[in-house]
Amino acid sequence: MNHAAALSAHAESPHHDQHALGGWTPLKVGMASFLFSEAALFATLIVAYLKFLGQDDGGPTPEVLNVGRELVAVILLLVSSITVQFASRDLARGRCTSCTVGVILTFILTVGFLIVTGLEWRELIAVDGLTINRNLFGSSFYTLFGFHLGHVLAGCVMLLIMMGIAFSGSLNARSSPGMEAIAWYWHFVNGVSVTLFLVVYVITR
Amino acid sequence: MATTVAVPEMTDKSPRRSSLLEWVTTVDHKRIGIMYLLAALFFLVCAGTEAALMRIQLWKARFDFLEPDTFNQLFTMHGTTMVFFVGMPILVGFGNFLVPLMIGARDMAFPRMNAFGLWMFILGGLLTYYSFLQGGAPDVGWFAYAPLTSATFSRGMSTDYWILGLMTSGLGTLSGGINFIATILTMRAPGMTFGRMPLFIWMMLVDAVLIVIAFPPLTAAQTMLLLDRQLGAHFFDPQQGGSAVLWQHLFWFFGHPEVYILILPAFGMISEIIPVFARKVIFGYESVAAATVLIAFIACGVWAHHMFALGLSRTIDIFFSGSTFLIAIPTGIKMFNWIATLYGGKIRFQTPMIFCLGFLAMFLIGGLSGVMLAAVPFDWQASDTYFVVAHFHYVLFGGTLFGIFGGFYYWFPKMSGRLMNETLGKWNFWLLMIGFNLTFFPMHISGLMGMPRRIYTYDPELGVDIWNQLSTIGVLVQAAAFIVFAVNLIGSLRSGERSGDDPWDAWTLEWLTTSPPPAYNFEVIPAVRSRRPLWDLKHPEDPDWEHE
Repeated sequence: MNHAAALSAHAESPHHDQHALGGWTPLKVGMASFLFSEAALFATLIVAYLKFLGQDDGGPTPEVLNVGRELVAVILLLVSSITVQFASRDLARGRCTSCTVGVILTFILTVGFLIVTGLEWRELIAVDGLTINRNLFGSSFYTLFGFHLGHVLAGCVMLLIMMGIAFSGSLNARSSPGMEAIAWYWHFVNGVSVTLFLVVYVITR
Repeated sequence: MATTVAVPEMTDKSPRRSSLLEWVTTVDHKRIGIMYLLAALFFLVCAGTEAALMRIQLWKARFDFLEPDTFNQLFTMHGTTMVFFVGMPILVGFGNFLVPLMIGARDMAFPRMNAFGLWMFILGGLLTYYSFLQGGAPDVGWFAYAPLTSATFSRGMSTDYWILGLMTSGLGTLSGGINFIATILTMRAPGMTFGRMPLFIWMMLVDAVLIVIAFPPLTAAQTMLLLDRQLGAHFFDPQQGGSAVLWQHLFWFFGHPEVYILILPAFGMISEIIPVFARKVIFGYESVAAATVLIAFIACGVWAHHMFALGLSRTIDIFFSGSTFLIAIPTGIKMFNWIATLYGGKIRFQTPMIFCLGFLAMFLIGGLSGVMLAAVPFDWQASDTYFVVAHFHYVLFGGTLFGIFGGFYYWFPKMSGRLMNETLGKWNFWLLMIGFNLTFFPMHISGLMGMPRRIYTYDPELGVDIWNQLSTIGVLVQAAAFIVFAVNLIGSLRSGERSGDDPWDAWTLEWLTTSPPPAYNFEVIPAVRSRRPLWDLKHPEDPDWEHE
């Protein structure tokens, strides 16, 4: 093992840590790569939605969508992006109680989003008769927004885990580096919701 | 950092026998890597058997050894297995074993996610194969074109197993890709700048980026297909306004980067092996790395060359034909780099090296027929014939699989502490070389004579009997080569010659530690000052960093 010993001497050399990427921990790089792949996923689904827009032979069209209600849903999520950011920042600064409050607020706002979306979908299904097998608009609309909803639900699970950690009293910046990654994920999911709102409810409706 | 602890010499002791439970529950990147390799070899036997059965059926015109329906299942499962359950897992397995060792890290960035990826791959493979017990395997081809996959034409559950199996293993692959990126970007040893990373690491990094870009569109497309089949959505159903062409776009947007995902790590392996056995540094390190990045970039813009026969439009055909020609340039740059590395070297013709030389020759043929197929008018003639089958086997078998064999012979000593047998290795190589060419070269001819792929038999008037018989005989020779490999692998594991830490007098960090490496890889994390840290150690009088 003389080789290793000799090499270790170089550890003190001026070349040390030349490659370090600022504050990019493995967790952050991993989360960024994951979100990159998520972007590819949603881009594919948006392409499919646009491809089929206006190709239906019959059934409901995007005219049935309720812009005002969806705007409320998106704003709820956008506000939750602010609360989750505060939670992440507070944890980094060691303020665990206010971090917990931030996480709970985020969760409540998300539940609000889920309720509004539920109302929207209920009306689409019960009143307008738009289901996934009704026509192409239904297929692509529910797939696109369903994927987003799945991501919101996954985010809820993350928030619940953070709450569980907080209530068990073991929340601190050292043991929960995931909080920042969760905030990143949350901002991404909310960015997607803004994108979907603009594409589906505003630009192409 | 600099405090060196006296560590007992542990060079030539055989590793402690460990229990099955330890292997199944491990999060050690080396064991996970080895399990990837073993599982992939199991699936290689499955896929090889499927290929052999197809070749028997094609022995003569109008032969009735297999039912047409069985033949459809066999070519679908052969393609799916080779791409998803053999090619990628073997490369990911080598990547898992080697990346932390080569960059001087103690493990991957996310060890538990690493184990998750392995088990997702195995689950996905078993799920896909379980379809055999559920009334028949998928029979829609590995690219599963719509509307053949619709509930109307594909009754039963086979296509659903195909979707779910690939989604599951795809999730594992994606997690592996993320893991490689995080590991390579953040966990390199002190001093290992991007410009000093081994080329295998460069290729794995670019490979992982391609995985992250290419897999989500496949998952999205497969979800749509699943919704079509199970919930009555209309994405790929032309009867309801859906688009079968969209499936082709989405599949090949994944599918073409996928073939580069399958070849880049093999490029990386031979970029490590050739310099060591030519006793020269790689020629043009920077251009090899840059060409890799360029290949990945262009690879995302060539997918519709799989769809020329569709008649998309002149403009689209010209664009994708042009981009496909373009990708030959960075690939050609690499060929010249490898050949220039050989030029003037003191070449040692040991088994890892001759597989690399085989790679260069075979991949060149596959690359050239690829350039032929990039020309739209030629592609219209050859599309869906055995010429295409010959082309991609020269790339993925003559390329990837030859590289993988080279990798096995080269890194087996690091994994096991023992050398593989040279004589059997040479037999392995020559049987494979002869069998491979005997199988696939005649396919160029039968294809140009008009033999369509994916059809269970052919007309006697076509006059392709003799070429098919040569192909089938070739499979027998290949089978012999694989048996020699298996005998060599098992025999060498039991009683191979002890290799020591660095049997090839190599230059990258994995050869610094013991063979097999301890769980923690390195007693001391090494510091790096050049592209060949081990050369610097062995030759303090003439270190590389004085010249780089």
